Amino acid sequence: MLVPYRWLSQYVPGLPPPGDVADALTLSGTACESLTGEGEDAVFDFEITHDRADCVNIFGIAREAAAVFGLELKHPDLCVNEEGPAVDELVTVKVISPDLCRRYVARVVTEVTIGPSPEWMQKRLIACGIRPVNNVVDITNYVMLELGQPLHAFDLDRVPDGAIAVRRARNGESLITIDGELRELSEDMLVIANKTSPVAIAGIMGGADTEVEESTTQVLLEAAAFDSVSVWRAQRALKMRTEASIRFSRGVWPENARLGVDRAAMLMANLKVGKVAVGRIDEYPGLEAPVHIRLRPARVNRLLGITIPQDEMELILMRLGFILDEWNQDSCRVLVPNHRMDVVQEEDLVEEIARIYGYDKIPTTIPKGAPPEIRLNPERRFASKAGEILRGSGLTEVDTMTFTSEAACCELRLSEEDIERRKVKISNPISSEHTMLRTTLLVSLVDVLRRNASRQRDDVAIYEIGKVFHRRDAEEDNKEQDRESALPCERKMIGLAIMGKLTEPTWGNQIEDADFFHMKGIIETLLEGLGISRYSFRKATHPTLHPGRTAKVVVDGEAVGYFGEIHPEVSGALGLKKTAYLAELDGEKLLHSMPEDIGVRQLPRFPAVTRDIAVVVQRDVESKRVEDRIWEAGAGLVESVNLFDVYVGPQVPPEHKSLAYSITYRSLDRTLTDEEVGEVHGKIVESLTSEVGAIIRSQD
Amino acid sequence: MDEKAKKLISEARKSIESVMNLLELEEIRVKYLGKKGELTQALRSLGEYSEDERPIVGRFLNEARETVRDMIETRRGTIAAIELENKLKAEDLDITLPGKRPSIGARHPVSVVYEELERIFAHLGFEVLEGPDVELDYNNFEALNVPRNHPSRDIQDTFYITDDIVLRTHTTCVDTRIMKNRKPPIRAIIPGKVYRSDASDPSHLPVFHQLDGLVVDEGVTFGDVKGVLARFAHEFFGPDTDVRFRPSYFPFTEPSAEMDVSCVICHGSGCRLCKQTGWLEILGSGLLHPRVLREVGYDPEEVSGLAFGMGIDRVTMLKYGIDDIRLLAENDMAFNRQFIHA
Repeated sequence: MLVPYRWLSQYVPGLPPPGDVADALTLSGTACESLTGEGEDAVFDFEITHDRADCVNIFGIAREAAAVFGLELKHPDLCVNEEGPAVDELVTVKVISPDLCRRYVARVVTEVTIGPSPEWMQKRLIACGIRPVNNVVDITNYVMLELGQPLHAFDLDRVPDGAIAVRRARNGESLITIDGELRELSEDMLVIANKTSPVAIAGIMGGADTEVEESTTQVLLEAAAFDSVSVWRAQRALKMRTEASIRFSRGVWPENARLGVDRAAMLMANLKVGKVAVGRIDEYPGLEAPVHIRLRPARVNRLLGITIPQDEMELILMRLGFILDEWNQDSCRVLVPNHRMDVVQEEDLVEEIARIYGYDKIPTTIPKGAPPEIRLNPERRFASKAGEILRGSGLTEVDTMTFTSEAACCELRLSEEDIERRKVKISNPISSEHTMLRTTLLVSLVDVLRRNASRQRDDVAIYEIGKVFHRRDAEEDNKEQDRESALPCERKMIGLAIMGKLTEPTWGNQIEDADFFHMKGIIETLLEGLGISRYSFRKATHPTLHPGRTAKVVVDGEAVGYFGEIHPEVSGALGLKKTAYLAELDGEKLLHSMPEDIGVRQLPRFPAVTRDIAVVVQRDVESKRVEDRIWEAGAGLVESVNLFDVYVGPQVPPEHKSLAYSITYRSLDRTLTDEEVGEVHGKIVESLTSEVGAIIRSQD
Repeated sequence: MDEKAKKLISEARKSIESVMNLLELEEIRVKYLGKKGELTQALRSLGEYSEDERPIVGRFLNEARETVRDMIETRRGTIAAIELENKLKAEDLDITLPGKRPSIGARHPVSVVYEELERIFAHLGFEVLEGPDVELDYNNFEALNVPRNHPSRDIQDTFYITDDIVLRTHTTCVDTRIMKNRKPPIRAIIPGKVYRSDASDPSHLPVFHQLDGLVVDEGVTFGDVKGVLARFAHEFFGPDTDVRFRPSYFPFTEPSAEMDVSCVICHGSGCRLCKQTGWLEILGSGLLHPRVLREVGYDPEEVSGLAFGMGIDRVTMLKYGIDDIRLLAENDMAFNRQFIHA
């Protein structure tokens, strides 16, 4: 909010220079965002916190400044020169919906001459960002800026019999507002109406029909305390935000309505706009008892962690307009001034005392109690460990937005039915790219691949540990009735994507683009690094991946994720130049598969013997089958099996491949003899021949 | 005999000293000391001498053998040393050629900052807790003293899933869950993604990161708010950082405070980053509002609590001098890979 220094200092004689005012108000809670201009011409821009509706006006700031500096506050002149008829001969007001209008105050100005407002007033309006219109409108705006009370001026000649009703709109009613738009009204909106139809939307905007114009001769000045929630809802429903509606939404206090209307009337009379009729209309159905709070100085000190003497607290509160009485041994009664709608309980007074006393004077301490027993968060530990392993494998961490869209999911070839079933839809999206929460990390990862590829970065290796979201199935909903069950299912996943070269090509070191087995190796390294050893891979399918180059990862018999080569259609749609490999693993399942403790195995004390064997099998025989046979036939003497070569070519028959293994034999309790090794090796050969139809190509 | 042997030895010496490689040296050894070598032959023909001469000649020949053998061994050592030297010379490397690096990945700067904050607060006895991104309106707003259909909802632009379910606008909503499930004392920090319906621009993203803190115990004071947060500021921004607390407003705290730190660029003298104020707004904090305490079943007369919340993207940007928040969400490898050392 813009506040000219000259205007402000009018209410606080002796106000310190602008820079000091900006600092002192900032440190007492009225943050000065910027200060432009010098000396008397300086203009502050204050950011008023949402609770301080009383400060969204120049006089409100003056009240703060006077309290902060301990200076006297000069109130605006409210002496109205009344003449002519009594107001109630000209106007009748009925508040039909008192729940939405706590107070309605009105005055009438007759013999009005519309013209420009004086130059000083126009200058102040412009300095505060408001365009001058004419003397009547400018005065209402001036008073709104000065006191925070929104006012409206009606052309009274256009209100038949001067009869005003403050009521809810009827369904089907509409109004053309002064901006020329036709507004459809509804029952929960409050309107100002003549005998038959609305003439203004309460607290938001007047109707075009009763707008003050050149020809206007009689003006009805309205100052009211409309219900903030109702104005707020109406401005949302109508998508209208006006200076008035913003102030009403934040809250106005009924006492200010009288001050506002008198101040405006006083200006109308003094500036010779017209004659102010005698008296004022004042419908006040919402009169409430003043707010009293019990204040315990000891509690103030206990909460702040300081000892402020009681008389200093008293002084601070009095400077802010609070009245203290009914003292007893350890507490007093505090009467809250009516403009402080935000102060309703003792804690609010604690803040009042602290902010004027000075937050900087409160000592800095560390909580005294013993810290609670700390439980290490296993999920954070898991994520940190997994991240370490993946970075060690050359993958860079990414952090993406959790949003996506149906279109982006379709691009991944996910079926529409599946998306529909699982998606968590945002009801008020702000972009067509962010209409739902992601159901898979792949959608975010390929987006990163695409963006990098579009910037000529075709060698990418990334991981993300992040959440995916699924709507819960309807059946699950029915079982549990608590509110929690309406929330979607959130799972932390590990997503991996590699594309192009994994390491920088250097001299004398041929680097090939990543392939399926690089991704598989990264996953194996991750699982090993997490201490998960009972894993296997099975052939699988996934709509986003190549049908012949997809595998699922199985740990302890349960699928924990999948990986594979990107489907060429997806790759093409994304415009990737190099083939990408994608993986998604369920972080929670992996966390639960991790061993609790690490047990150390005894170091081998007897020598190992290594034998190589190359077997020719049909191409569709999975190497896992061959390996399983080796382990099984190895009779506990096989320590490791390492596939060191896969060959397809002229040396083997068509539709066949050669697999070359290096098998290490070792016993934990003795040195194996050549005969023993030979016997076991022989059994392995026999098993491979009979069980997988292998032909032994060579062995040593 | 003497003459002959001396000649033999001097010949051997000559050829041994002139030989330059181990192969030729071996030939020389064979020539003199081999089975058919000259000295070996000479020893074999000792019988040609008289019994008187035999021991003298024998000793002499044996000594000659020893001498030649020693000469050969010495020479062998010399040649080996020369050969090694030559080999090493030939193996000389241009050590300025680039190294063959295994690849290593970088962390995302936001997670670097999260980890550092978790470490700082762990020293103060805080544990790390998390909650769902998709949250009940009740936990995100109502329990935190932001009633439904109330103008105070305007403070945060919110994404809704249904009327009752929102994308959390702060991780403060987890405070409600923690307090409802536990008894004081509580000290926790809550990291996580949060959502506001703001369009992307250099300082806004619809999805960003927050870290909230919560302490509930008997006798938690406003001084503790200042103390905990000043400790964080000094650890994170450096021991010379100045901090100040300004009154502010949050629906769930009373009294409330905004914490500023001295500008990381100008250190207080005023620059573009701090809009000439010398201060940077870092976080919001305060004592938990009595309505919030009552809502979770605590008695505000018995326990008090402090809460704070900070935008992680903002502190990440300040720490690394990043001028556009969107870089944190783009994941351009040229950006992310700069954090390998972080």
